[in-house]
Amino acid sequence: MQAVCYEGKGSIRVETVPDPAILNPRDAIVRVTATAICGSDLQIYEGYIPTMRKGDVLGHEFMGDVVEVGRDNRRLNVGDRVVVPFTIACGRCYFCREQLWSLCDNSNPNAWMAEKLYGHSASGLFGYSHLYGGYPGGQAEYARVPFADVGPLKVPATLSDEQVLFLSDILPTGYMAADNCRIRPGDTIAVWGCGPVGQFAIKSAYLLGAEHVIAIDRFPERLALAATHGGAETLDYSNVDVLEALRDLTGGQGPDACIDAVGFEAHGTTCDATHQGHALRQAIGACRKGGTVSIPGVYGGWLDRFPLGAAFAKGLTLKMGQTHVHKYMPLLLDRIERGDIDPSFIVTHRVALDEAPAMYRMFRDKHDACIKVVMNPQRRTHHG
Amino acid sequence: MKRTNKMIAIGAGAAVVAYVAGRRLTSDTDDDRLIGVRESIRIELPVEDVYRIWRYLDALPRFRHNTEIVGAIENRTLSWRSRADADSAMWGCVLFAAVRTGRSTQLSVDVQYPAGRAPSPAIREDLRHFKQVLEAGEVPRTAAAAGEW
Repeated sequence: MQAVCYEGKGSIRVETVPDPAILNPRDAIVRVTATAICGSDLQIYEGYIPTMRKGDVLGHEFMGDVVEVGRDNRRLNVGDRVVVPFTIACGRCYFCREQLWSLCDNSNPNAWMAEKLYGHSASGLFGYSHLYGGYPGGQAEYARVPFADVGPLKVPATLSDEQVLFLSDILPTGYMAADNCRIRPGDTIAVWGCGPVGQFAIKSAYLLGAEHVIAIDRFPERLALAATHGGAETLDYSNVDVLEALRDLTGGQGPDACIDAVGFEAHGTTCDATHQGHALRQAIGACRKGGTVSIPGVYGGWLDRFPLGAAFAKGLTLKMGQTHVHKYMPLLLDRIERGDIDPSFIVTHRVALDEAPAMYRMFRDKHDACIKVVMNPQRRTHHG
Repeated sequence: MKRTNKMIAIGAGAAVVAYVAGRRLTSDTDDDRLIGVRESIRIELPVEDVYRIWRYLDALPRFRHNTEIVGAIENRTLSWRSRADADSAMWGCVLFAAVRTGRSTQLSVDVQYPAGRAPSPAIREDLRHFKQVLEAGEVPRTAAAAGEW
């Protein structure tokens, strides 16, 4: 089959690789009909993610049709149309039972590696390095899905692929970011980063009762989308002093909660950890006393000179981590079916799989007002 | 905590029995220094289930292969030593403790090997696999050969 493979820093290629096979009794094989490029795929592309190997299949946002199931999988049938959560979870360990699905104890075959680095291992992830299990990803014609009797969500034929694809990651991620803010009626929420997760965090904050959402970015097309579609007030950080503007907008009090939808790769940073996390530092500085800083943006490794003193002095709550996708998928599918949200509004580019290398480059450089790329692995444009 | 202390005492007693038995087995080796390895892990099943599976079923951690049980207190502790024809002498014990008001079980394993034979990471991985089989029904894997990293 054809799959998008990591070749090395700044290089990906569409290659012919062996079709996936059932390896465990609870597995399923999915024929991928839609898969997206995530901002965190760019962190792999840029070489920030350790333990990637040449030839690893990328992609963790995907959906499709079930074509094969393992012998212990009694929930899925061949032909089911499913969206697959990017976090791989067994459904039976302490963490899964506590709804902390992205912290599953039993899905990372390389748990020992993460234990050495972080003390404990989180769940395995599709297409996201050997530190997270080395699972081949979903930017491919077919994907093997472990624990497919608890992960994949069946979706109705009345909804298009683009309407449900983002249940795999970024819609639950934006929603959990807002959910972590413990929003009460009347609250003001500030969101750093108007990429897809930021856009969904804005929508979710309003769905959860926020009175006012302020969105911060510097790309005009992203700010425009946050304003027109999200209904947010926008701040272009390349033009205004964000801290001062937020004080002005909140009568000096600061936003009740701040969402860092940027992560450690904030603009202008380098691999040197000392100055990373600019958005997070600003969010901590801006947040009102006793407020919450919610971090859906991805961080890895270490962050120096972290403003813990400010967070302590203001009694802030920090909430973070990979999304518990399984927890949020059903309620968000319900929201989509009711028409509360149509996640397809973020899609700017629709292509076949063989255009992946050009799309990664474009998405990284934010050319052509690129916000979200969706690829259809069953479609062909030009064969190479 | 009282209950836990009592269990540790029981387990330690069982370990001594196993240890003495093991020493006798290997008394004529050149180097009979011992390496002790301790590992513990939690399993999301009641203690009776975990004990039963360890004691009677085929899901034993690999490090217990070719051993015989020399002491058992139901739902509390098991101790074992290598059989006479085993490649290398080994003895150990495991404590089973009900934790989280009975919803989980904490396993504490104490294994003694002759010096130079004890692969501690292997014991940890074996215990992890035991937990994965009990909880998830399978050991997670990818197409890539295991252990390459």
